[in-house]
Parts: sequence; C-alpha cells; structure tokens
Amino acid sequence: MTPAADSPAVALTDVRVVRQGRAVLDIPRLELARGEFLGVIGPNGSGKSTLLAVVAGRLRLAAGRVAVRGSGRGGRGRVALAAQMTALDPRLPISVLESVMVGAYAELGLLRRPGPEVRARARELLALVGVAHLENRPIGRCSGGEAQRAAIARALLRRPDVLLLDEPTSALDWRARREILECIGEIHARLGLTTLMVTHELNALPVLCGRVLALRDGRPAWLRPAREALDPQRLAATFDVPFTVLAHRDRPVVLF
Amino acid sequence: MDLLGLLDHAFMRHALLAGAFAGVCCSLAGVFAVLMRLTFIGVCLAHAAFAGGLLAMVFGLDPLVGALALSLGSAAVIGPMADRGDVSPDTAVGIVFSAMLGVAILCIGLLPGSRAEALGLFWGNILTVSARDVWLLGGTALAALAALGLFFKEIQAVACHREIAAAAGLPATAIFYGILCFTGVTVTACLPSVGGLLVYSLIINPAAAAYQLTYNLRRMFLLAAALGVASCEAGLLLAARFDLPAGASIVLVSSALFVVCATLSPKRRDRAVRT
Repeated sequence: MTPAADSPAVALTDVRVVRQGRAVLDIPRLELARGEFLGVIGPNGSGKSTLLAVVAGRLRLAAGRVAVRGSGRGGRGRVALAAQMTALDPRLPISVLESVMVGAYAELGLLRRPGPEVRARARELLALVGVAHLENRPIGRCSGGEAQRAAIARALLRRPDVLLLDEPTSALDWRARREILECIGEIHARLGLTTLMVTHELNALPVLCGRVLALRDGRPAWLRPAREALDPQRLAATFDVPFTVLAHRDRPVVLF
Repeated sequence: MDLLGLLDHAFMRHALLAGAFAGVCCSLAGVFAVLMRLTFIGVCLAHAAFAGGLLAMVFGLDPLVGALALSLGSAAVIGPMADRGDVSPDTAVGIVFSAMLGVAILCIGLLPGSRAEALGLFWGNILTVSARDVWLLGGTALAALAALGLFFKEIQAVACHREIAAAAGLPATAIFYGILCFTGVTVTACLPSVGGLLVYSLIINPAAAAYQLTYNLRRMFLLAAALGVASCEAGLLLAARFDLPAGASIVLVSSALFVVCATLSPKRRDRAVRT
C-alpha cells in the first residue's frame, strides 16, 4: 500500500518519554512532509537525540504515538539512524566495507549471511558518499570525516524513507564539516529522503533545511522556516547566550 | 622423557584434550572481552564461578552446578547494571567481583575439614581432569564454534561497535548479554581443569595476542583459538618435560606468546607510520 501523497512522512502525537521519573521529551505534535529536511537544534540535554531515538523506534514511549509512512510493508516507513560518531579503536578488526554492511544485517535477520548483492549495494553507497577507495581500510583508521561518510552509507543501506542524522559534523575539522554537509544535502535531494538532522552547525541550517525545530528541556521551543530560524533573539532565548547574526551573500551568518 | 610416550597415559590424553578445548573456548570468549574492552570481566566471572563452586560444596551439592549458577547470575547482573548508566561498566564489574570474593572467602571459612578440594577449584588441576570435565569442555567449545558460525555477522557487529549495531537495528543488548553468559559458561567449564585463577590468563592472553596480528575478525578468532590451544598444549608438554606445575606453565606460555605477537605486530608498525 502506498501512502497518500499528502500524508506526512513522520507524525508525532502527544509523545512523551520519561526517564527516572522525569519527562525528557514532550512533543504535543510534530509532522514532517515527505522529502522535508528538518534541522533540530537546542542546548545539550534538551532532548534532540531522544527525539531521533523515538522516531527510530528505539525508545519506549510513556505516552503518545509515532507514525512513519513510506515504502515499507503496509505503507510503513523505513527509518535509518546515523548515530553520533564516537572514537573508534584504530586496531578494530573490521573494514569500512564490513562496517557499512552492518546496516543490512537487521533486515537480513538471524542465520542469513550477507550475499553478494548486499556487498555490491554497500560498495555503491560507499561510492555515493565518496569513500569507495577506503573499502578495505580498517574503520578505526579512518579520519573523522571518512568514518562519518561510512556511517551515512551504513544508514542508507537500510533503504530508508526517513534518514536521521545525529550531529554528523561533531569533532570534525572545518573542511570535513563542509564536505559532510554538502554530501548530506546531495544525498537528501538525490534519494528524495525525509531527513531529520540534529546539529549545532547553525550556519548550515538555511542552506540544508526547510524548517528548524528548537528544543528546550525536552519541549519544542519553536518551529520555523529555516530562513527565519537564525534570529538573534530567538537563538539567545534558546541557548541562553547572546548571538549576532549578519547577512553575508544574501545568507544569514551566526557569529558567536 | 619421550613426549609421544606421554600419550600412553590416560591422564595425559585427557589433559591434552581438555587443554585443547579450554584453549578454544577461553580464547573465543577472550576475543569478545578484548574487543569490548571488558577484560576484567574474565576475572570477575572466574571468581563468581569459584564462589559458586564453594557455595555448592558448603551445601553438599555438585560444585559445577553452583559455579554455573553464580557465574551466569553475575553475568546477568553486570550487563543491566552497566547498561542502566548508574555506574560505569568497570564499576559494575568491580562491585560484582568484590561481592563474589566475599562469598568465596566466607564459604572457605564455613567449609568443614580439609580445604584441598576447595582450593583445587581455585588453582585447577588439568592433570587430574575427569572424563566428564573433558566432555563438558568439548561441548562448550563445540557450542561456541557453532554459535560463532551461525551468528557471526551479529557477533561481529556488536563486538566491534555495540552502539553502531544498535543504531542499525540489531538486538545489540540481547547479543551482548548472550556473550556475557557464554563467558560465564566457559569459565565454569574450565573451573575443574584450568582453575578459577588461571582461566583469566587463558581468556585474555591468546585473544590479546591475536588482536595484535590482524584487522580481520575471522582471522582474529582463528588466531586466538590457535594461540589458546598452543598455550595449553605447549604448557602441558613443558610441564611434563621439566616437571613443572601445569597451570603455571600454560599461563607463562600464553604470556610469552603475547609478547612475541606484540613485538611482531603489524599494527605497531602502522601506529609508528601514523605518528
């Protein structure tokens, strides 16, 4: 069954996540249109990663409902999460290609080995994210940018309708940040994905995103079109620090 | 001494078989411990098995039943305790370890008469291993190899990076707990032959040595198993040839193999090139 063209790709209704008696996420309503790119910002501990985990179906809800529609069985959407990058042991005995193939293992199920088609698709995706030449390198010996590209390829191997990115530019140098953000923009457009990206990269928001959601204490503080998001008062109220926003080549640029 | 002539003795055949099986299952468990940076877990589960064995002896039960119950119980406590995030994984292992040590010392105090059998569980004695113990070790090694063959992709994903495996939709927590339970069973099976104290070195040394040699997980499992078996068999033969304590010989051979592998490690060269 194909979902109706106008039905949202992701819809959260009265979603509440409680941890140790405290509500860490409380979203009355949030809808993402198909093909939309939503940026999620907010201070540390505001519930951004929790929101991604909820959409990915990795957390038990205390209340509410999450509906993801797409190309999966019964019109259900496939969701893939590229988790926040952590330091990897450079001696880890797993290659970039093997690490990307992990993305297909859940769908394959127990007792089934990944065949040549999984390997071929993983290679295609490595080429798509620009690291095909690294397929045999141990994943722990890749740079941060290369490992992040591999993480995106791993997520794409699940053939997602909805791609979730958790701080894809954290711990990257300036050049790698720019390249990863360009790569994400291209993939979103080329594959027609619905994308949720948690980020602290405020200047990337107007370039990549259609809308921006700001979270504070687990609740939506505001949800705006990306071009309106970089407002100094709004950002200051969200992060509790003063911001300056300049116009540069017809683009707002945040100074901090 | 004629080394081939040693095979004429049933006790030596049992010891060599037990060594081979213990070498395989301990080193496979060690690969998980080394990759997941939970090396102290081997010590903890070994002491839990030792404490369980002693507790069973206090109540007049089969020590292996008590050893299995407490090592599995400890594995079942460490996993969720570390995962809940209230304490770090190291602290969780440390808390369970100290509790098990307390139970073991208490039981030694409570045991009536000679404590030779109790201390046998601690030191082990591979030269007096029974046919039942050899079967137990063989069964554990075969089960471990079968599980590895059947679930290699899941094991690879979780052992190399549990968070990535979970993000990819795999039941990473269940697989991790399964790995902990397998370690508990391995330690229990090794208790009568290798002993609660020496099993730790057999878990860590071959796996840590294999880790120095390859970037391929299949090869790492194979190398670890080969080094584990080589440690046991060479240790036993050296013990027979020079009249040394068998357990100590096995441990020292496995330590020497680690030093050789670390010295010849291609990863060491890679690190030098990078810096």
